[in-house]
Parts: sequence; structure tokens; C-alpha cells
Amino acid sequence: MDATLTLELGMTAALAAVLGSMLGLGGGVFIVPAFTLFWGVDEKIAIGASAVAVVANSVVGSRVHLAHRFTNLRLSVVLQVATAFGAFFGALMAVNAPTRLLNGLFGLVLLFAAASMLLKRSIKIEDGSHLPDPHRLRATYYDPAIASQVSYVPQRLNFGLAVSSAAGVISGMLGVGGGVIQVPTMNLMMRVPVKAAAGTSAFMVGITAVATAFVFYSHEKINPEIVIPTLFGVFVGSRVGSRLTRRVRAERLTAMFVLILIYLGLRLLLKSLDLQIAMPW
Amino acid sequence: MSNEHTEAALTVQERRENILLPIITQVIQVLRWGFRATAALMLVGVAIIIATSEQIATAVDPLEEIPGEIAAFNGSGFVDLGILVLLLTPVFAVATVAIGFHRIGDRRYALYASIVLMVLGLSIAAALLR
Repeated sequence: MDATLTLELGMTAALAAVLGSMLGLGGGVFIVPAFTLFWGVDEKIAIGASAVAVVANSVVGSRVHLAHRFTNLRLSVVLQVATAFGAFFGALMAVNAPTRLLNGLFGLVLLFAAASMLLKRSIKIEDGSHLPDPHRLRATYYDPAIASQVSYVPQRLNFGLAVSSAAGVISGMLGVGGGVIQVPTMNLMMRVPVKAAAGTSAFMVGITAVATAFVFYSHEKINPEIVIPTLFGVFVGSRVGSRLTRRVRAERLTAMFVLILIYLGLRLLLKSLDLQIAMPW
Repeated sequence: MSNEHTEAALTVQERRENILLPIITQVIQVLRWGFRATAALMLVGVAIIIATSEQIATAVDPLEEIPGEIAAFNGSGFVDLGILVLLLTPVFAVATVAIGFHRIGDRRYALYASIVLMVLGLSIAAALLR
């Protein structure tokens, strides 16, 4: 592989990480479509590289969430049982699945991500110190934004487990973290405050991606030529993205990012149907 | 619910959070050292590749070939090991959680963490048996 393509992949990964970091989606959502659509990287190689990048992002990012006590360890472990199984079987399906199916599924996930961003809302969780806690999942953390302790008890655990299985299968098949599904589910359905949901998800996605990555490794789909620029790009991009998040009001950029997601989603869907429509780029 | 009950609940919660603190601290350490080891191995590998104009492999080598690659001072061996250390870091983190829950007598969550480890073990076994 020539140096120019290495540089292009690294810059694409960095840009994907900036976008992913600013939107809380993780870079994988952008890495796989960008690599396959613009640089002609094989879908399964791109998914393998993305899974490794998701692990790297999780290893770095979840340290911060753990230190701030945003990560609910018990909740992450119980949901991870379902997610890890889902990811393992999803990855086994993906390495044997036709590329068209993966493109179509990825296109649908991108459109789902666009829709969830358009309708983005988080709910305020009421104080959970008085709620029953049969699974001992209650957690407390200090939220500097409101300068007080937040206590909550995750609800509807069975529903969360079902969604986690599905998120695991999708993560395993597409090499994305699954946070785009997990965070809104935890927040809207399980009544977990959004910071705790993001912190718990950040820890979980790394474990999920490991289950995926080793299956791709066993099928020789982890290509160091692609992984090296991806990792360096993601490390740089996620740092830039987290700094930009503090400076730029993400809401203003939401419309643009939704358009990017819709564009990539439609391109992948069309590719899965073998349809070519003239696109501006 | 009276304030007394609420305070009692919070006291129990605070006690539970303090019990988890050593586990959280150990997991953070595992993640920190995993990242440092990965970064060091990758940087050494890339430096060797650039210095020797070595051709990068298109797939990570099987595990048994990596020690030989490193002994031969091939950059690809260091990169491969870096990728493997990165992928094993969350596995060690889950093992730390399982041991931590076991130590504090929380058998239920120790079991859940062990099941997660088992699934990851299946995935790793698939990779080793390739």
C-alpha cells in the first residue's frame, strides 16, 4: 500500500473520530462507510479496523468515565452478558455474510443514527434513592453541571438485556461500538441518566468490540496496513473532537452531521442494491 | 417515604459505592497500562518499519509466529503484539471486575463477569485455532 493511501486513511479516521467524538457516536459509524465508499477498502477489512479502533477509544475514554464514577459497573457487567454473546455470533455471521448484506445493514444503521440524532432528546431522571432495587444496580455519582449527587436505579432490565443482544449482533456484524443504540435505550427506557448511560456504554463497547475483533482476527481480517493509520488517526481525532466539543455548540452542527449520515446511509443502501446514482462526491 | 428511610438507603448506597472503589481503581490501572503498552509497542513497530523500509503484513500474524518476529526485530511483530495487547486490555479489565466482585463476596456479579469472560474466551479461542 502506498504512503499516500496510508495518509488518506489516517486523515479519514481522524475526521471520523472528530465527528464521532463530538456526537458521542464513536468513530466506527463513519470509518467503515468512508473507508469502503471513498478508498475502496474491503468491507470486512474496514469492519475489522473499526472494531480495533472502537477498543482503543473505549480503553482511553472509559478511564475518564470510571474516574468520575459515571460508569455503573454492575449494570455494564449484566448487560454485557447479552451484548458479548450477540457480538460473538454477529461477528461469526459477518465474516461469512455477503458484502451486499453488510452494506445494506450498515446503511440502515446509519439512517437510524441520523433519525435518533434528529429526534435527540434525553430525559431528566428523578432521584432514585427511594426506588426499590432488586438487582442491586443503584448507583450514585457527582454531576458537576448541577453541582450535586445523582442517585438512580436502572429500570426494565429485561428490556435492556433484549436490546443489548440486538446491539451486540449489530456491533459484531458491522464493527461499530453499539453506543448509538445502547445510550438512548439506557436513558429513555431504563431511566439511567445520560452521563451514566454514556459512561457505562463507553466501557461496554470496548468489550463488545473485542468479541468482534478476535473473530475477524481469526479470519485474517485485521490488516495492520489499515489498522495502523486508523489507530493513529483515531487517537488524534478523538482528542481534537473532545476539545472541539467544549468550544463548539454541537447542536449547531447536528443538521450537517445528520446530512452526512443520511448521505452515507443512502450510498451504502444503494450499493447493497447495486444501484449507482450520480452523487456530488 | 420518610427522610429517615431515604438517608438509610443512601447510607447503604454509599457503603456499596465505597466497596466498589478498589475495583474501579484497579480497572482504571489495567486500562492505563494496557494503553501505554499498546502505544509503546506500536510506536516501536512503526519506527522499525520506517527505518528498515519493511513491508507491512496484510494480516496480523498467528500468535505463535509473533515471538519469532519480535526476536528477529521485525516491526510487524511489534505492531501485531501491540494490536493483541490492545485487544486483550478489556479482557483483563473484565477479569479484574470478576475477581473484584468475588473478593467483596458479590457472587452474582462475579458470575456475570465470568460469563462475559467465557464469551470473550470463545472469541479468543477461535482466533488461536485459526
